[in-house]
Amino acid sequence: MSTEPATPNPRRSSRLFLWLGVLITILGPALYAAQIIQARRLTTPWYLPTSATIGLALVLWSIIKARTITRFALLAVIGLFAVAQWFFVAALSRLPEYAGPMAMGRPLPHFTSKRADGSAFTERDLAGTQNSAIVFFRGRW
Amino acid sequence: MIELGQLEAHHDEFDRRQTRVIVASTENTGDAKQTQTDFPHLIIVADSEHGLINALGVMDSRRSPANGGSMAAPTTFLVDKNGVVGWVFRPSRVIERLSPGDLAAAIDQNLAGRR
Repeated sequence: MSTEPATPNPRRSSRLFLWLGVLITILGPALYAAQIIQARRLTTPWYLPTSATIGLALVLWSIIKARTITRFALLAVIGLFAVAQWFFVAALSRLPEYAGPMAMGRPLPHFTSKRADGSAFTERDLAGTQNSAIVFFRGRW
Repeated sequence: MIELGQLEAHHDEFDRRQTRVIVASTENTGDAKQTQTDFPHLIIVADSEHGLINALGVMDSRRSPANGGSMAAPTTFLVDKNGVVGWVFRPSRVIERLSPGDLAAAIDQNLAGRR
């Protein structure tokens, strides 16, 4: 009967990092879905690219421990996912600062538009007994 | 439409502050009628000819990723009873919006006490 201690299998011990990396990567979009559907908060989800980057690092660590084709494939997929998310959140979604003619204390200029029923809507409709909040929206967001 | 749904759901907060909420986009009147039905406490403006968008300078230079059409950059203006602007807000990112609570706080801060 052998008394030598069992040597740890590097592939098995690194599997935890691999799955943890995949899990954390998936967790980002899941949290974002919860933020939109449940909390209905429209804030910038910085945790999305952050979680993908942490996931990428964990998968990379698992590759250092044991190299397999599957792990390299996952690294590539999660890497692309992380890059795409950083690009979208940090660059593509940026809005230019407001540079229009309006500022605090300025009266609204003359304009003509339409209400949903087709009737005219002008700056004169905004004077009266109530304040107004004009919100420009777009799409189904 | 999460943004409009949230504004509609909290309309009583704006009513208490004597503030009507006007939501404008490049929708045509056909689409805007449906939007008005969905959000009856908001005033929907169908600015397909860009009269309001151009007057307030909120046209987005980019095209809509959905249909390639023109679109307004998400921007909020608070206007007092005399038609004078009290506050202008634009989020730093297209995926951000003011929450109803944020908007109510901005009304309290910028329009309260105006005659």
